[in-house]
Amino acid sequence: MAVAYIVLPLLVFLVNTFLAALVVKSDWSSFQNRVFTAFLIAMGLWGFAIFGMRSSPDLSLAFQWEKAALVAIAFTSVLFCHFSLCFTNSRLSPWVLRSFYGVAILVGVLSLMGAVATGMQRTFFGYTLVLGPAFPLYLAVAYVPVLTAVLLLHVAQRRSRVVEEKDRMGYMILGAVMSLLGGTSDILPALGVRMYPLGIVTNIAFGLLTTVAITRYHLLGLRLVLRRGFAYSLVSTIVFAIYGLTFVLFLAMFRSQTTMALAAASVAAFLLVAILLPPAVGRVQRFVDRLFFRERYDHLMALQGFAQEARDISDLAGLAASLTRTVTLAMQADWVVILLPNAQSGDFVVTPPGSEGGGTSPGISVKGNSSLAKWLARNESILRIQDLDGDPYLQAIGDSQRHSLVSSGAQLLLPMKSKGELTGILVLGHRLVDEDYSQADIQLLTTVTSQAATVIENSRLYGLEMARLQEMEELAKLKSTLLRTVSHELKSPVTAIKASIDLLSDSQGGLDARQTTRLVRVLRSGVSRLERLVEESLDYTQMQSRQLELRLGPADIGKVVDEVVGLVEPSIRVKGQRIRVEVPEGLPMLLVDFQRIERILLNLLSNANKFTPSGGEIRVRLQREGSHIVIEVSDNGPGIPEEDQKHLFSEYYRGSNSDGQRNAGTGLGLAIAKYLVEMHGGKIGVRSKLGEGTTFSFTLPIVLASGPESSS
Amino acid sequence: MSRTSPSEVPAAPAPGVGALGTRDPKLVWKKYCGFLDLSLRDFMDIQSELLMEQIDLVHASPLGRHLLRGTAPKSVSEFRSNVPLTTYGGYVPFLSLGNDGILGEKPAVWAHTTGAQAGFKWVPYSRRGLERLLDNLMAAFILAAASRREDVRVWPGDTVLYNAPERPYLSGLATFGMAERFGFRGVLDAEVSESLDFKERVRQGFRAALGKRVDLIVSMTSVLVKVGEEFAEKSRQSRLDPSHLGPLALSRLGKAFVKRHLLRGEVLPRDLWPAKAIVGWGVDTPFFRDKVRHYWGKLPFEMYACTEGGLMGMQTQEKEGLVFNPYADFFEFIPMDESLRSREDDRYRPRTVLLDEVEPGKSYEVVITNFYGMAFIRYRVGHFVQFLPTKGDGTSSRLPQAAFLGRADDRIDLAGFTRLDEKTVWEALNLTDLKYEDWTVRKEFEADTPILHMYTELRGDHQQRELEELLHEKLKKVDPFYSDLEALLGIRPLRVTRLPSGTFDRFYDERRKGGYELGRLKPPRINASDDDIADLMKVAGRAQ
Repeated sequence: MAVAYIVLPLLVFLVNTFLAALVVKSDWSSFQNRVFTAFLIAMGLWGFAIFGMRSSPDLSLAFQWEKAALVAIAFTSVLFCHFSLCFTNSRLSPWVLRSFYGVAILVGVLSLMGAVATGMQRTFFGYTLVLGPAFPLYLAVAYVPVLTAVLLLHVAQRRSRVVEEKDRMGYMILGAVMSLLGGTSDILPALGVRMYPLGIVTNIAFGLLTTVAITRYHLLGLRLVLRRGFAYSLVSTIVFAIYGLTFVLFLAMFRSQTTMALAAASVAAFLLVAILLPPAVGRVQRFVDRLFFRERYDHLMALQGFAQEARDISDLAGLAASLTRTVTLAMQADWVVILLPNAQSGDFVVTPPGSEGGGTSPGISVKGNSSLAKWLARNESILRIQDLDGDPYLQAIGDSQRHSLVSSGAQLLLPMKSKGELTGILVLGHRLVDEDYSQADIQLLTTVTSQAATVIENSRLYGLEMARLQEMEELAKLKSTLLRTVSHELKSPVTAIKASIDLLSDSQGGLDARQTTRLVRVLRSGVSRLERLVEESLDYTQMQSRQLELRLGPADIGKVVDEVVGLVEPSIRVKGQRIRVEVPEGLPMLLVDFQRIERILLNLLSNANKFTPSGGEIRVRLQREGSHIVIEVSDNGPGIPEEDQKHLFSEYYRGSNSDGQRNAGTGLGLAIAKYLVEMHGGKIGVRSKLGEGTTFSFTLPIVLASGPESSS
Repeated sequence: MSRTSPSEVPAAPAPGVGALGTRDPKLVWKKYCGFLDLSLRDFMDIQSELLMEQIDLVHASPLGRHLLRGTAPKSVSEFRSNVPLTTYGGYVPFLSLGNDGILGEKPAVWAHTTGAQAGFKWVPYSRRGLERLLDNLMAAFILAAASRREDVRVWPGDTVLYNAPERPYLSGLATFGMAERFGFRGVLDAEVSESLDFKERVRQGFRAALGKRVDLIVSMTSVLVKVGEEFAEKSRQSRLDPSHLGPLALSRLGKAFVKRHLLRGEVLPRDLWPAKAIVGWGVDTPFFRDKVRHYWGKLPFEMYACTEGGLMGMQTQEKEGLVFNPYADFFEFIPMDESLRSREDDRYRPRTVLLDEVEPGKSYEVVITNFYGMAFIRYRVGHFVQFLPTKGDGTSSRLPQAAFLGRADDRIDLAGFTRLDEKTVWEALNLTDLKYEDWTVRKEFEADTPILHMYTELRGDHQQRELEELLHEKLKKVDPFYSDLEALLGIRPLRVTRLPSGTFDRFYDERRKGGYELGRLKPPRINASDDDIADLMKVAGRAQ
């Protein structure tokens, strides 16, 4: 004990000197670090002075060393306060710090004059002070600056929104409090309290904790460290208690035996304990783990469960739900969602839609080509929501994206990667307990997501493959339907053409002009119908394979209407119908595919002509509505039943006529018209009432082919 | 009349932590100055993302529909090829007082700046646009005071001496904004400062700063130089009157006198106003760097800003070239030859390049597109910059750095041979070592022959002829094309009119009494109007 009493202060000196060198090496140019170095040096000098005092052979020499130690403590305290002021960048009146230094200098002088302590006295452990009249002033300078520092650190810790920063300040506060307690234990013997001075030990811890806090950025959460320490201590205490108890018991039982027998019995006892203890210790450890690390225990159990469920990759929705459930329980999060890339847009959206991992999950998404997605793809680390403002790359995130994340309460975003590609994003809301996610939580989440990423990506790819297979099957079906329909439609015109040609051939010029004209008309009609069929089929094929391209150019829509009306006029005249065209003056030029717009109009007018009875009226009207041109084709035919209206624009849909028979045609015309209108950025629709007629209308946006230059 | 009030500036958490959210210098540096560490690719990504958001925000608004022609371009290349370049004239029907509905959302504030003709250019600032301006200014403050990376020395609660125009000039808005968002306190109360005339504001600001700790000085460089010279002059002549100085000021003065008596024999402003950083602006800043450092103890930190574009660029902590800020605006650059051609031929559409296509050593005209739902799209600001040769070490930034050359309309075309700008004249003047109060230069005609007429107020005795000769020689030295005028054409176009002492001050006072706005209280340095010159000569006591 005497050796430790003397040597420990020397350890303080050596440790603090070493720490000072460490801080100097890390960043000497920082003023804050220079102040901290001064603090460590003062602490080291105090340790050396205490060593001198404790190793002194007499009271007189011990008193000289003690005076030096008192001076050192005064400055240590003030330097720590000064350092805390710099570290937290707090605002304190400069006179406060000046007065601390002033009092420290005064106390130093008084100490050297022998006013703080008037001498030394012997105690059971060594030497202690005899208090002098200026001792209260010494107490003030020893305690007040440190308490001020603790307050500054505490305030800064509360205000900080950065977890790592909070942890660092927490370590410093702990060190300062330990130092205060240790310092108090040094003073109490002078007041007559019989206790061993622990200031040396606590000051070693103080220096170590504070140095670690300012030189290392990512620290274990303090609570976790304390819990682990306490848990370890508890297990160790239980083990040592068992060994100790065993020893005492055997000693009591075999006291009367010879030394050899006693020794043999002791060894046997320890061996027995050593054999029986490990399983018991294991149980104790598990009990302590569950007591102190309940959530970690639950994490591991949940992970096991997820691993089981992850074997089936055919159910992506189930996998995603399982993962969110696992993470929600393990992290005690308010909500957890997984964002997976949408096949069409590439944006990351909640999968499955409406999945809930706990509380109400928000409808958030991340654009696939956004800087947020790129950042997550490039970085391995998680993203805390407060980093959105702090990271220079993420400051470009749009307001709506940022707002949707912040307002949803998202706290963490974790990238899920497979083969280096971003395949998903795990998003967590607040914790239900009022705590931030710790480093340990982050580590666990990182492990979970890296495992889950591969599984979910495989499941997603599996789903895509199945969807692709299904699409191919549907395409094959559509192809055969198309072939069937086209072949069926081809029959009539081909038959008519063939019959007309046979008649012409057989007649050998014996037909009159009227008959010839009639045959030529049949031929022409048949060829037109064939031509339309071929065009429709080509358009449809291109539509299906998304290869249809518009050839845009400026067009006068009024002229397009006139041309198409000219094409259908003969058919209209044949049925005795009337056609009215209303095109206002001054309509702007549009940027459109002329031929395709013509085809759309031709389709609508042909249908109007076909389904309006003889003598009926067809009207074509154009008007400007805001930034669009609206084109309407109306007729006063029988109208379309409401049931049919829903399917009008579907592929292969052919309504029935009044006799209940299916209308002629491929059923592709309106589907193609809709596709073409939408490709132009417009919309198509129908209004119809039975007995009152039908109006088809479509819009085209007004997009100028070229505009005027701005004036200088 | 101010169209703003402090309540219109976005509020922030209380100073202390303020908008910073942390006291950790590393994190603060990363948040505000981290753009310096971006790669060029990241810079372009950020620009592209913000541009797409901007298009999304404005394409449906009345102004947006007009500028984007009813379209919403889906890519940067589509935007650049389909949307024409613009100048302020195209915005005039939209950007007028009270027209709050022209953009997607009501502007948070309206700023103005002096237009080329009489009147103002009004610029609406969205809430986010204003916040970004203030964040960029915070970055500038940090960099101004830093001597190396992550060296954050300015914090909420610091005191700033502002010598800047009042609201709704952008600098005035920024003054209020920095107080509300970051807790920076002005040496003078902001409301009091605004009520003062500019000169009085400068005077009272320096006086008030004597008795306080001043952490930052934000000022036009020419004001700093003038104050420095006057101060040094007074101290040499022992004309400093300490009777009005408070204890802090007296103690500083005392220390300064002791120090100077041993070393130099003159008290300089830096002895009384030791600041962590000096933020200066003005085309003349590069020429007065050393003078500012001599008088104020710090190199002036330069920023690149304008009302239409906000704070677009700034120096790094090494205080060399200007780095463009990717969050300020979308930047395009017109090569100089394209720019000149387009100014000669209105119908010519110059091509632009992006930051990753500029070449070191070449000069460009700047084109900006605002972000955050603000008004200007492919807007020719009328500024020229020159990109500096790249440094291999990339210690301060990997991004291209530029130097500000001048304004497009601050150029004088002499005989189609040479284009003199403000910077060239500054360079020449600096070489002469003349002590001048102020000057203005413009092109005039003498019997149909173009001349370069300088009106200047000088200190000291100089003969007219001697002045002209001296300046002419220096101009030849700095501008080889000017030199060719004499060598090849035998032309000596320079004329100098020396104005009596106090002319520019009297001009200022007369204009102020006449109710002119701040930008018109002095004649512009280049191409002053006939009215400006006439008033100047009137005040000088001569008829033109």
